Amino acid sequence: MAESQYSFSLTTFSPSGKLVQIEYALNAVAAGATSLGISATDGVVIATEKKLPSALVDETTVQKIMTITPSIGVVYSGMGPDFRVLVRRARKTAQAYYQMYKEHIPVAQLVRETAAVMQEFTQTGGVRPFGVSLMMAGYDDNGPQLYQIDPSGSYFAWKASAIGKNMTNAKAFLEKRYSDEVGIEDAVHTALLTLKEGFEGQLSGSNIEVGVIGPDRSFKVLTEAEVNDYLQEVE
Amino acid sequence: MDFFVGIKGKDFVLVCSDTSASHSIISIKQDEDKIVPIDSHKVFCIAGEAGDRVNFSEYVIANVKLYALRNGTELNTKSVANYTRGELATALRSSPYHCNLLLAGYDKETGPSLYWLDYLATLNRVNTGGTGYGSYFTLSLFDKMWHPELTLDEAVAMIDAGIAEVKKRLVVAPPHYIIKVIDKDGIRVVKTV
Repeated sequence: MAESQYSFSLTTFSPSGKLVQIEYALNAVAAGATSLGISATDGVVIATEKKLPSALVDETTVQKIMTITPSIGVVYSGMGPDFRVLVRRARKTAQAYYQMYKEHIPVAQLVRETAAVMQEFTQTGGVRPFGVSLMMAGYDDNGPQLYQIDPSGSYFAWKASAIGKNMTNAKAFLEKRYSDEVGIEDAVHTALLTLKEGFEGQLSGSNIEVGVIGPDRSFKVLTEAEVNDYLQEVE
Repeated sequence: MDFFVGIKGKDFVLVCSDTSASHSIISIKQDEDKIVPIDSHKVFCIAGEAGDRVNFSEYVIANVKLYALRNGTELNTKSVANYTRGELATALRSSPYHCNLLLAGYDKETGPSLYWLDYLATLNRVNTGGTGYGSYFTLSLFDKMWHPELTLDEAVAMIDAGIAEVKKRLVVAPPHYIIKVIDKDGIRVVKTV
């Protein structure tokens, strides 16, 4: 179907009405390391496994959870390089908003703009969809929020959810554990327990990453020591 | 020459404009309302070049409305002020808008605010402000009379004093004025002079 002289969009409909490339992109996400997020009454926590290909990799240089604005953070499952491109775009979008209004971009609007970028790549010639799903966590005037954005460009607000390799089990675990009254400290504990469920080996501060935002509206990636402290509380 | 003044009070903003529309030596009408609503709780007072005033104000108002429609939430006064300044700044080095503006608004969370902008894309948040020749006479008067707990009656008295001064000392003083207040209940006319 794709002749070299033509730059068809790779996302052309199949007879059954599916966009096969997006399905495959979702497969790429499902093969990636598990990530999850939990929205609490006074904040949001996001976390991910930091499974490295070899013990020789310097894990202090690997950063999976990124800050987009001081009050919005994001984690992914899927292809790391694709994630970095989206983070760049999202940061620029957020700064352009600030430059125009001198106010920080609301979470829902940043989610929408980022999702629009991902959708563009499903309807343009010569490109492929992003092989990542994002979990965006933020705190603005509408309170704490957690959003998932898929390669298709669809986005959902979640109270708690997981993406990646172990997402079905993780989501089932979260469904049992989640309550509307849970505070940020409990949410961190629940996040760690959920990661532990599908983890091969011993959880530690060096093979997972945790990001938290509270009422101070300041997104922080926890240090290895802080993660280890929480893990001790959970054991 | 257009006359605009604005005074920020305890929980309101009072704005006054003259109501004459003229074209060189001819007076077209004496009851033109030049205080333009942006949304339910914000107004523009725009003075300057004839076409630019309306064009620019309509452009900003349309974009403010678009934001509200797109995002299901309205911009606050500070955002509108900075957005307006940005538009003036972008146009400045190609085809500038020759307008001086006052932006007066009331936000539920932060209360009343008054912003002064000029055609060079200056932006300042002020307690009292004005544009045009009339402001030369009224601003020092307001400096003396303004205080942070200003009530609506005190502010109206300030504007009355300002108008009287302008009529007394400005050679081509406009004859008629309209005074509007913006507070938690929105925009309404206080009186016409």
